[in-house]
Amino acid sequence: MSNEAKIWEMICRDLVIIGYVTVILLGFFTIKHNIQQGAQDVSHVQYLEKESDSKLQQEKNKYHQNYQKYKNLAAQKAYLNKDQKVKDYYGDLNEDKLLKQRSQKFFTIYLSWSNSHDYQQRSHKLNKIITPQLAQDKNIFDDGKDVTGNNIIKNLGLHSRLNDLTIYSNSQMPPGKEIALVKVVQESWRKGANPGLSNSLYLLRINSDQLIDQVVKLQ
Amino acid sequence: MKTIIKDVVFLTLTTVIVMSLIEGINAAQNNNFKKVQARTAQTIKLNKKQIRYYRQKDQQLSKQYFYEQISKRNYDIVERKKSLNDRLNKAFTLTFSQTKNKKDYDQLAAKLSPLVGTKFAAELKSKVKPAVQPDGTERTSFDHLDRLEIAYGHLNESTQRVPVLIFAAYSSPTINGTSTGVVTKGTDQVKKSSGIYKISYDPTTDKIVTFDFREGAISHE
Repeated sequence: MSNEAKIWEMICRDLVIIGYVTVILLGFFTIKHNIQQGAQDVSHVQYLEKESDSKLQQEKNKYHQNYQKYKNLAAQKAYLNKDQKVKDYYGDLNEDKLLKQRSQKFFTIYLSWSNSHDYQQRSHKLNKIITPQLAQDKNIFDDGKDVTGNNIIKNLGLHSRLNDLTIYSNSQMPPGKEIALVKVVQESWRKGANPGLSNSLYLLRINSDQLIDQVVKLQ
Repeated sequence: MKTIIKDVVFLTLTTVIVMSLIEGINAAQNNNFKKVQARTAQTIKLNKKQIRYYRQKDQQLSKQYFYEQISKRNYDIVERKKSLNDRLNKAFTLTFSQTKNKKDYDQLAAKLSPLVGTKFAAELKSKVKPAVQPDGTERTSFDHLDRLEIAYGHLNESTQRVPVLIFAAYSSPTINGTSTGVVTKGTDQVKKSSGIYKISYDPTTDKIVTFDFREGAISHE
C-alpha cells in the first residue's frame, strides 16, 4: 500500500469516528430536548386544567356565599311576607334555632369536666342560659358525691365530655312550653383508662325569657 | 478499503438506530400528551358546564327564591305540627289513660285510626292488650299516661319527611301487693314503663309513613 493510500485510510477512519460521535451526541441532545419539551407541554395542559378547576371552585363558593346571604336575609325579613305559610315557617325555624343553640351550649358545658371542681362549677358556668331555679335542681346539678358522702368524681378520677348530640325541638307547644328532646352521647373515662360511650335522652324546656328552666333525664 | 466500507455500514446502522430511538420516544410522549390533553379537555368541558349551572343558579337567588320554596308547599308547617301534636296527644291519652278494659280495647283501633293512621293505631293498641292479671281480673297492662313529649327534627328536603321523636312514660293500674301471698292493700305496686317512638312524618300528605319503637327500662315503685 502506498503512503498516500494509508493517509486516505486514516482520514476516512477519523471521519467515521467523528461521524459516530456526532450521531450519538446529536441523538442524546435531541432526545433530551424532546423530553423537556414534552414535559412542558404536559404541564401547560395541566395548568389549564387547574385553572379551570379553581374557576369552578370560585363560582361554587360565590354561589354558596350568596345562597347563605339570601337565606339569612329571607329569614330576617320573613315577618314582612304576606303569605302566612312563609311567616309561620320562618317563625318556627327561628324558635327552633334558639332551642338548638341553648341545647348545644347547655350539654357542651354540662357534660364536660375533668375534676370535681369543674363538676361542681357547671351550674355557675351555665348561669347566663339557665334559671336560678334550675341551677338549684339537685337532680341535675348534684355535687358528685354518693349517699355516703364519697366523692365519686374525685376518687375515681372521672372525666367526661360531650361526644355527639341530636336535637329534636318543638316550638309549637303552648307559650313557655317550648321543648327540645336531646339525644346525647357522653364520653367518659377514669384517669388513665379508655373512654366509654353512653347514650341518654334529655328533655330541655325554655321559658318566655329564653332561659332553660327545666332539664330532665328521660332515659 | 474493506474496513472502510464496514465502518460506513456500521455508522449508517447506528444512525438509523439513534433516529428510530428518537422517533420511538417522540411517539410515546405524543401518546401520553394526547391522553392528558383529551382528559383535560373533558374536565374543562365539564367544568364549563358546571360553571354555567352555578352562574344560572346564582342569578336566581333572592329572598323571593326562598319564599317561593315555602309558598309552593301545600301545607303550613306550624298548622301541621300543631295538629300532629294534638292528634298524638289524643292518641296516646286514649291508649294509655283511657283503655281500662276489654271493651275500651276493642274500640281503640277505630278511635285511633283517624288520628294517626291504621298502622300506628295498631302499634299503639298492641301496647295495651288486656291480659289476665295475677289477681284474676282481666285488665290492660297500662292505664295511665304519665308523660308525653313530642319533638321534631329537620325536614329532609329530598324526601320531604320530618323525623319526629316521641317519649312516652306510662304506668300500670295499682295492683294490690301479693308478693307475700297475703293481699296487702295500701302497699300498692305500680309498674312503670317508657318508650321512645321515632316517626317519619310526611307533611305533604299529613301522614305517618314509618315508625320504630324502643322500650325503656321498666321500673317498679
